[in-house]
Amino acid sequence: MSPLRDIDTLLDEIVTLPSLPRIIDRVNKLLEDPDVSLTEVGQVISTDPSVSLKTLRLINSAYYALREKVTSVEHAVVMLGSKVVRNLVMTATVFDSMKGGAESYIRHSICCGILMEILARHHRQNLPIAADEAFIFGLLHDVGKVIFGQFLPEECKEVNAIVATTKRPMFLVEREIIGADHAAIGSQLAHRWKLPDHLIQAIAGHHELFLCLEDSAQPLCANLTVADYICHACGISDIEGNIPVVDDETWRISGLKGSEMPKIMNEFFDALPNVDELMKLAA
Amino acid sequence: MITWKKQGNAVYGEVTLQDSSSARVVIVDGAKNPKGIVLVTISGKAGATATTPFHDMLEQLGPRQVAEALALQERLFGRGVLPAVILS
Repeated sequence: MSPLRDIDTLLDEIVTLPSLPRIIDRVNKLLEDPDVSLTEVGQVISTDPSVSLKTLRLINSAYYALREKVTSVEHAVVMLGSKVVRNLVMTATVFDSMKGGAESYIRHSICCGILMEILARHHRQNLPIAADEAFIFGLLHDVGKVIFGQFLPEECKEVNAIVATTKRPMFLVEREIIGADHAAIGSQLAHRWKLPDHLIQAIAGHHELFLCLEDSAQPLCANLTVADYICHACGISDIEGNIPVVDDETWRISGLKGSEMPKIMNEFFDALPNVDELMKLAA
Repeated sequence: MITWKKQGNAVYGEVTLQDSSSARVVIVDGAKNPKGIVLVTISGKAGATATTPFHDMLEQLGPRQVAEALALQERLFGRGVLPAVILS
């Protein structure tokens, strides 16, 4: 068994973390000012051509099914509002962080994002976040796996082989082989990116709810766990045999009821044909 | 997680309902068929069985059970948006 690695040491000495574009930080600061104009927000985003282009591709994808084609970020901000566009910029940026991940991982993450978005729309009482923000939770929940895959490829192969043959929970096998698990490293990355606390907590606790230390973030974390589980139950897994265990308490905290599941599942199935287009954003 | 078994064209799994009684979820067809998925329960002391459309019994099922059953129905008899599953 590998000794438990200190996550900070792992991040500092082994891993060169992908950085979040400074544009996100600038937009977040702008949005703190209640008097900021929509045009100003759009102009700031437009200063980063790569982020702008990716955001426009995302906004114009079939998944968002907008009636009108959006031709500029300024146009998007006026049409959708600055917070929605900020989340879309964030989403487009997160797609960049997924580069280098296996196709199955990217598909799983996008599907989990779609399901989180649906849960946020149906389930506002327990999931009091905007649907477009919920999408980011799903996209990012397993980002720690990309880091392991890029920087510790041999250990990762060993983890995947053990999970495929033993069907043991991946995060436990990671702790044995690598000395840290993807939820811990993913939450640390989110922390370094200065992402919101409830997102950091949800990533940290998505396999073990007690690791989500903020009580107020637990329903959100439980919904993320459930979204992850449903994707696996649908066969949308990154690794064959990797089906997480979700305890009854997590289901209870998610607040979901059996009677609301058919509508949620149907919306999820209806959205799946758009996944391939979204996957191109991570290519 | 529900353990699914295959018998002929049907797939079934045991579940515990909210009232603690046992039932069997049986999947025989896709979502377009209202009888594509049903719940079989024991009715009365004589042990006679009752078959009820799955969607009429949702209040008796937990979200995990419903999600797993509908996911499997979609994988077995759906429109091809999910990976197929082969049950022995």
